[in-house]
Amino acid sequence: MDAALATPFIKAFFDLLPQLGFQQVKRGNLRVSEKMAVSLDVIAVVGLSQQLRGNVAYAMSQETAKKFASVMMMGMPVEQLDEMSQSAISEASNMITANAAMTLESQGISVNISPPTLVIGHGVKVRISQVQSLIVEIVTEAGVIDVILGLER
Amino acid sequence: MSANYLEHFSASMLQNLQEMAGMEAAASQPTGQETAFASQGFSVIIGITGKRPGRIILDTTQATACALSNTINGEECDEEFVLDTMAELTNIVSGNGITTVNNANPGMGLMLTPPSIFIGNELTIVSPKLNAEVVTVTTPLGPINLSIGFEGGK
Repeated sequence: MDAALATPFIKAFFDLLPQLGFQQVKRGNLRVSEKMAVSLDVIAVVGLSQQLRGNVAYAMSQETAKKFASVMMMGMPVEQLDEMSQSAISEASNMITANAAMTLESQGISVNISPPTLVIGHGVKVRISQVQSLIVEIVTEAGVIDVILGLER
Repeated sequence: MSANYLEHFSASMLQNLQEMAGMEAAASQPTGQETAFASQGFSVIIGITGKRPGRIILDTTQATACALSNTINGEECDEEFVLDTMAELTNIVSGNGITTVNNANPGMGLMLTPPSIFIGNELTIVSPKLNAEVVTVTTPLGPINLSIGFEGGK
């Protein structure tokens, strides 16, 4: 896929995470993923349709997921990835993807997004696209989030 | 939107299993599904965009996915082949179902996103804020669950 398509998603993290209470947002490594890859344990996947088709998945460890939800809930301790924290992570992935969709729209690429689905497991094998996907790491104080992009124009 | 939209999906599933795999299968009545449910180990997820966003999930065991792929293709299990076959089956069933829903509800403009596939033991799948219903399709190779959920009511 075209690596330039990753930019709106990275921008969305920098736009939104400070608003959600995060102090630290950094871009980490970029790598090309095998079509089928073993992912981190908590994955939020959002589908895209119209001029850009594919999926974007936000993958993180259980530990990062709990810390991420805790930051979103104003520092409330999160011991278990319960319904409320799952909902927080799902909502964040929805906001980030919607923000990226608006950036794409302003570039003349019209995109619709589906509601997020959370997949939680251990050693989960994931294929989000028929094409090779890109993984961009976003580093926050909650830990690393792998943004897995499998998009086609 | 009519409450029995799920029947269009399950009818398409039964027809495709018959045509592609020569297999007789039966679908249960739709039942409401919890926000979080345990996967059988092999899940294909297709997003729905438009006026009523949602998602479709085909969920089965890795063994059933493999056996079904073998029956359809007449070849031994190759992981890539199993993934392609199950993704395509979900695509076809979702496409048929969504077309029927769109035709019955002018202006809904529902579109599908490409499939994503998740494989693993002890997977939990969560769809916050969606109202989902599920049918179990019983096939000679094992049960396949077809779940459809939309935002904001059924």
